[in-house]
This record gives sequence, C-alpha cells and structure tokens, in this order.
Amino acid sequence: RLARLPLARVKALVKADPDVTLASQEAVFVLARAAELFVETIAKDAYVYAQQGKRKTLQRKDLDNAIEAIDEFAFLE
Amino acid sequence: MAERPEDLNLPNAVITRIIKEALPDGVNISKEARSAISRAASVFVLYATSCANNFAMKGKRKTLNAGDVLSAMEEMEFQRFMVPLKESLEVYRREQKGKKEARKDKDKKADSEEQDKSREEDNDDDDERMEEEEPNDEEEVDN
Repeated sequence: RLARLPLARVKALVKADPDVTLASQEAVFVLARAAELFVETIAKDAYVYAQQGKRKTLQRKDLDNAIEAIDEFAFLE
Repeated sequence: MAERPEDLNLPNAVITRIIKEALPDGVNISKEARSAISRAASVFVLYATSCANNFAMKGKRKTLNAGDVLSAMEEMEFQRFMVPLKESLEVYRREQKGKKEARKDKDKKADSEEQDKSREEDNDDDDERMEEEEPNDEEEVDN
C-alpha cells in the first residue's frame, strides 16, 4: 500500500457536494482509501479485456468493456 | 455537479502508480485509459460522498463520518472494500493519536517553560472538522 491520494484533493471533491455540510478528517481518509481500492479494482477488471485481446497495454476500450459488464460500475455509465 | 472540473482531478502520478501496482509487470496503460480511470475515480468519490451523506442525514448528523463512508461502500456494492478500509482506518487512528500525543508533549514543554498554565483538553478529537490542518499527505501536483 504505497501510493496515496492526497487528502486535500479528496476533500475538494467532498466539498463540491452542495448537500454536504461537514466531513470529518477520518471520513475524507476513508474516501481516499476507497478511491485507491477502486482504481486498483477497475484497472484489474479492465485488464481482463486487454488479455482477451492479447494486448499488454490497457486501452480505453478495455475500461468501457469493464464498465458495461460489471454491475458495481453501473454508476459510471 | 462540479463547478470547475479541472480542480476535481486526482493527481495523475498517483493514479498511474496505483494502476501499475495493481497490474502485472510489463503491462502498460494508454494515456486515454489512465485518464478515464482518473475521471472514474473522481466520480466514485462524488457518488460515495453523496451516498455517505444520506447516512449522515438519516442519523441527523451534519458531519459526515467514517462510518457513513463505510455504509456507503456497502450500499454501492463494494463490500469487498470493507475489511481493507476498516484496517486502514485503524492504522490511521493510531497514527493520528500518536501525532496528537506528540503535539501535546511539545505543548506541555512549551508551557512549563512559560510557567504553569492549565491547558484545556481537546475533547472533540476523533472527528476533526474539515477546516483543521491536514497531516502532510500532499503529493506533488500533476502536470
């Protein structure tokens, strides 16, 4: 667990929500960590498609395929 | 939703590193794919925030807390994140506690140099507000 998203940037995203009054530092931390896990997850899921295409470079279409195929990513559509 | 989309990007360097660490050695990622993942991550945070905020409001609280975010993960069907998130949170809490104690010791020393003063205890420790100073987690800015 080496790469860390800066909390300030995550906080900026949280603040962008007009319905949010305040968020604890812990909440921002958990969101940052969750985002890191999300990036790992989606990268791995997309890579499956690159493998199917016998490619060693992950491409945009691999992402699109993963998003379409996987329920948890429906919010991205 | 976003007022200035450029400001809501996550740093490319960190995103790229996370992707590289998740994939086998020798695998590359196109700039477009990396960009798309970065944007997806931002949307993820926005969506999770909104979800978490619903839990806070249900609990009649104005401050979003860690528990709300965890509940949001479950709601969003990312249950598999729960265990690693809880573990990370434990580590984070211990680190914060350690920092706090270090600050208190420093302050105590400063006080005793100034002669006796009674210090007020900080009671709302665990849920610090957003206005508080960040620990130095800042990475280099992208681009």
